[in-house]
Amino acid sequence: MSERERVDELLEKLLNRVLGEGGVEEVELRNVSIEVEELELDLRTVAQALPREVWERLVKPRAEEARREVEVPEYEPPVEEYEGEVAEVQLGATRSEGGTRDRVVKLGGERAYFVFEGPRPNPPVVTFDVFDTPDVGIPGPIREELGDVVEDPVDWARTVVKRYDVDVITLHLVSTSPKLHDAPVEEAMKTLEDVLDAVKVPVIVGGSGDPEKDVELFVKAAEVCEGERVMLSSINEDMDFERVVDAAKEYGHVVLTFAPVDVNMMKTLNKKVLNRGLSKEDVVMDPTTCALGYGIEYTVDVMTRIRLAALRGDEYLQMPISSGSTNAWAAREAWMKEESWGPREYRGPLWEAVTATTVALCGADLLMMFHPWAVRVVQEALEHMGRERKGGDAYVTDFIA
Amino acid sequence: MPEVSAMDVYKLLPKSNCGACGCKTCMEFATKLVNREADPEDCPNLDEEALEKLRELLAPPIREVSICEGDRRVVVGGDEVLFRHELSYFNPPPVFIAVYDDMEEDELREKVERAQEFQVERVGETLRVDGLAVVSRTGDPERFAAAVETAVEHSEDLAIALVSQSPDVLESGLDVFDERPLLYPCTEENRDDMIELAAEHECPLGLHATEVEDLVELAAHARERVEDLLLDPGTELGPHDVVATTDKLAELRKAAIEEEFELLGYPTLVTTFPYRFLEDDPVEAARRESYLASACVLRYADALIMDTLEPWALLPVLTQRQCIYTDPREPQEVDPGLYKIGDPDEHSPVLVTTNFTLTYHCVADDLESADVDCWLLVIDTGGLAVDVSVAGGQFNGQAVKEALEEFNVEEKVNHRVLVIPGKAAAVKGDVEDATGWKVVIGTQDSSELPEFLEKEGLLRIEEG
Repeated sequence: MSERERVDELLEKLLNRVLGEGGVEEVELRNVSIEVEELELDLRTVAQALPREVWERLVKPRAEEARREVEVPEYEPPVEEYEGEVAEVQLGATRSEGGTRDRVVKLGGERAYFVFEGPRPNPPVVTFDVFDTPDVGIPGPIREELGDVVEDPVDWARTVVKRYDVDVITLHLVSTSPKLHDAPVEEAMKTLEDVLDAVKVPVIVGGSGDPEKDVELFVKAAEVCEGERVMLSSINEDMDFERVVDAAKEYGHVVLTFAPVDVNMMKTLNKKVLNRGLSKEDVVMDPTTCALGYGIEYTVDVMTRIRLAALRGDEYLQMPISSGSTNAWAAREAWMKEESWGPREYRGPLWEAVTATTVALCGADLLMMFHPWAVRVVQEALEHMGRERKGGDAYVTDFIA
Repeated sequence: MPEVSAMDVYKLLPKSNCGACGCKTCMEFATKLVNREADPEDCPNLDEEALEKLRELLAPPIREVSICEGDRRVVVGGDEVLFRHELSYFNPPPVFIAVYDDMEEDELREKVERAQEFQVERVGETLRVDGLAVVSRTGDPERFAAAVETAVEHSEDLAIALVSQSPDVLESGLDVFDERPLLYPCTEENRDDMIELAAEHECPLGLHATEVEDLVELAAHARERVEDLLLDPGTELGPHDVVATTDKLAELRKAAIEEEFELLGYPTLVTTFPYRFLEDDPVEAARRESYLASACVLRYADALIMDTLEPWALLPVLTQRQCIYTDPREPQEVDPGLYKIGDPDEHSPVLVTTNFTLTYHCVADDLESADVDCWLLVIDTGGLAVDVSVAGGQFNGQAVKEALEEFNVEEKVNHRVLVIPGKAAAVKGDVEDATGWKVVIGTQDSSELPEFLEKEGLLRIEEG
């Protein structure tokens, strides 16, 4: 037996006794004796000195056992109890409620921020944009997808409800804009009535963005739509919004308040609207959606701050949030033909879907959207915000050896 | 908000106000440290012990982990707030592109080269992918080693992740490349051997468990031997992918930051590449990947492994990353002023735009690339884009008038014609009234501007 083998044998004997069953009080080593209490056995140090074979057979299983005894602290999901909640707003009214809609939608009602803290009582709702004139400039990929129906708003509304199963439509009466066709309000009302007849889902009435004409338009629309509980989209500080609020109150509609990416301006406007007699259940707010790549981070911050403030009790921010996710199409990455970016028919809808989903994850309850593919994907995905977290279809480990 | 106060930090500084770090006082330096605008090493008067204490105090609740070394090194994690408006997010998540050991060598090399060369220009920045994940599909250590070799040989500065459930396969990869690649996935089944392998090679280790409790247990074991961990709570695949995955990531992050649950205080890893195998249609696979990854970039993904290299699919993800990881404390604006595009003279058109960084870059790039000579008058909208500032009232006649005066535009050109953005059409009258200049409404998008200017005869404007 060589010197090395003798050392190994000795080490093995020593280890066996140290690690052995029943424990040992004392190990006699030639003429040296060591009290076991004094012997600090660092397995890692020993491991480096040991021949691999001895390590594998004796030390490793014990080292593993020791590791298995690692203390695992108890884990509780970090569910926060919030003191505030978001109001629930109903769009549309059925016959029994004084309207003529077949179904209604409810927005908001959140009592938590993340799904693990509590699923949303009403997952985000998608509303499909319909314009009363194609002259507004419809992005190529959408025109290609929708075809000729964009020439007629009634046909457009009917088609998207039937084909894509959307829950709400938004009729943008942009032809009334003095800068576009300057169509009379009466003409727009005719379109609105035709659309209300053609589809039985709740309807949002959109203006043209002209601060004077929109007031006339909304006041008249409130009267024309009496009982239908439409949403008037939208009012802001630059217009005589009090008249619109009064009309909404008189005829039982919802108003959408708008402020340009600013929490305080949003809050101030909401406060004025509530003080004028509408309740939180009659108001939805739009704090501006900047497209992906064009300031979406501002929208992320503003919506997050608004929703957290609502849950922490700020009653002037406790309304559902609406997002003009269609703004995604303002991004050139969505519509521009640019070879190095790949085909725009894939890029555009994806751009819109990502914009909409980003704001929905931050708090948006209503998503105004444009492209059928984006609408379908977003509806299918965000439905899960209203349920307990699901898992288990497939995981990465199913695909790697 | 950061939990550590500047005062706590100040107590550990020399309090000499020597100025060597570039700050006038130690208190100013302390504030910068808390805001992550300076490093402890910037102070030359701290000994190793004091430095160590300071680093410990300033350590973010999400550990900062580096993967690989040298040119291939990427840093992930390091966040300390749940929401970006509370401070800022740090270390934009690297995108690793998956290559597979069952690919033919040519095919593999070609994908590696495409990943290495991938780039898209956006707002004055080059967007790229950051790494390669070599994935074992065969379970054969030799094939894996060969794939790692090809990946390393044909890439220069991409980080490397080695992906297999078998420690033996990973070890064969480490024989080829041992400069701290990410090893992944450590699961309940292979736990002890994987931890041992990562410890032995001092590599960062990615843990995978589909339930948070199981991930906690894995982390508790791994932490005994390995400092640098990444957490994958099981990227969900299917229609619930976006909501369920982002929600798990949010749960981890909230537990780590708000409940100070240390075992979850590591960067996260998201894997979207399996869609390549789940979807028959490659376009659908890339769409799903892009959609899921973009959402996860918003919600706490610190590193991603993707399959697609389609620019249309990567563009949303990389753009989202660029946006979400800008520092909200720094306004996204350029200085208002009269900018020269090309070589303008007194007959050149004056175009008006806003001082939002992105707006400015888009307009300037479009005009420059079309070789237009013009003046670009950038007005102060507080860093807001055209449509937003028109709606918000920052883009109005008064603002244009002030800019015309401040930057002496009247002296630069002989004519009195302004071209405003198409999206500012609503303020045309207001601008005309306030300035007395003739206002022409330009295009909806600046990419159409050069053609518009030419068609309208605005490239050279004669007096009057």
